[in-house]
Parts: sequence; structure tokens; C-alpha cells
Amino acid sequence: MPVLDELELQRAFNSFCKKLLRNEAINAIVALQRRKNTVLNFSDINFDEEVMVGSYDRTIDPDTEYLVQGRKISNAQLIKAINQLAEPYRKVIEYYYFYELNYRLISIMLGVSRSTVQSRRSKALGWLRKDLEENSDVCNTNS
Amino acid sequence: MYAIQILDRKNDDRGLMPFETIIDAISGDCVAMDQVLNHYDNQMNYLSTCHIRCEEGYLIPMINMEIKDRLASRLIQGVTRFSIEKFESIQKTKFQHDRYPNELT
Repeated sequence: MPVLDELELQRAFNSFCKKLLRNEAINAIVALQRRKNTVLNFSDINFDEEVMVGSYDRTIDPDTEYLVQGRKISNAQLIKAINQLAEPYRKVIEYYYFYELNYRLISIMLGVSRSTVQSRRSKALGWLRKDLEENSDVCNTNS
Repeated sequence: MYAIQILDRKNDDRGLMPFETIIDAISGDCVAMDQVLNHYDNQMNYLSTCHIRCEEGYLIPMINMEIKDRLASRLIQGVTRFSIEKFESIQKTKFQHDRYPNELT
């Protein structure tokens, strides 16, 4: 006859392994289904139509200009204004607008709360607006 | 008249791994780990079956090896993390190298 303590350990080990296998099987099946919904096979693509298979890198041209509320703003001015911000505010602007992440992901990456990210973004936007209004030229569209 | 076998449920150890192999597997012995994987092979097969519909229209059970490999690797990972802190009496008497006195000397 096995001693009771040994038997306890054997039973605990058995139930531990079974539970672990069951949970992992659920994880695996969910992952497989998610992949099935999102991934497209290369053989399924119909090349008769126009399909974009690759992507290209967009570099920023410093000379392009935009008209915003009657003012002319170039990319170079925008980059200069963003670089003048303090580092935590600049990072929020980068992650939100250039990498297109949401507040929750940014808060995990920077290690601060979600509402902090939100307030930093709005503050940084206000400073950027003030900075650009002072430095940009007024453009008359009517003339 | 028919007879029913009365089982001693307190001391029943059918379907369980032997105690020594469990201790070996937790401490990282590869032979014992292989025995653990063999012991739970049927369970893993059962969990990783998926049914594929054939051309005649009925379902065929097939083992998805992708899921099974994932289960096996997770089992190995989990067994090494299994804690025996609850079973203090075993730790005192058996786990502290009392079972292999010849190896230490």
C-alpha cells in the first residue's frame, strides 16, 4: 500500500497535468481558428486582378506644404516643432500618429496609466498648435 | 446472486504515475520525462483530434500534430514548474537526496 502523502502527491500531479493539457488545448484551438480567419493562402490569391502583395516605404519629403486654416505649413516646420517637445510628450505623439497605436498599448509601452497618455497627447497638441501659429506664414488663398 | 467488488478508495492508485518517476521528472530527469509523456499520450491524442469530412460525406477523426506538439512542449514546461511545497513531509524525508545516498559519497 502506498503511503498517504505519496498518494496525495500522485493525485495532485495527475490532476495538474490534466488541467494543464486541457487549458493548452483550448488555447491552441483558439489560436488555430484565429489564424484561419486572418491568414490568406498564397495559392488562393487571384493574380488576374490587381492585388497589392508587397508594401513600400514612405519617406517624408520636407518640402511638401499643407494649407491649414489659411496658413502654410511644411513638413520641415512640423518636424522641427515636434522635436522641440519634451521626450514623454514626443513619444506619445510618435506612437499615436506615426505608428497608429491606441491609448492602451501606448500606456503599456511607456509604463503609465491610460489617462496620462490621453492628457499628454492633448497638451502636446496644444503646444504644437501654438508653436506653429507663431512660426508659420499666413497664406492668402483669395489673391 | 452477484458480487460487487468493494474498492478501497482511499488507497487506490490505479491510473496514476508511480511516485518515484514523478519526483525524477520534476527534478529534470529525461527518462522520467519520457515516461510522463508516454503516460499522457492518450490524453493528448484525445484533445488534439479534429474531424475532417471526406468525399463520401462522413467524418474521419484525425490527430492534428500541430496541436499535439504544442501540448507536449507545454506539458514538459509545466512539469518542471510543478511545486511540491505543499507536501512538506515528503520534502523533509525523501526529496533531500536521502533516496540516493550512494551518489553523494
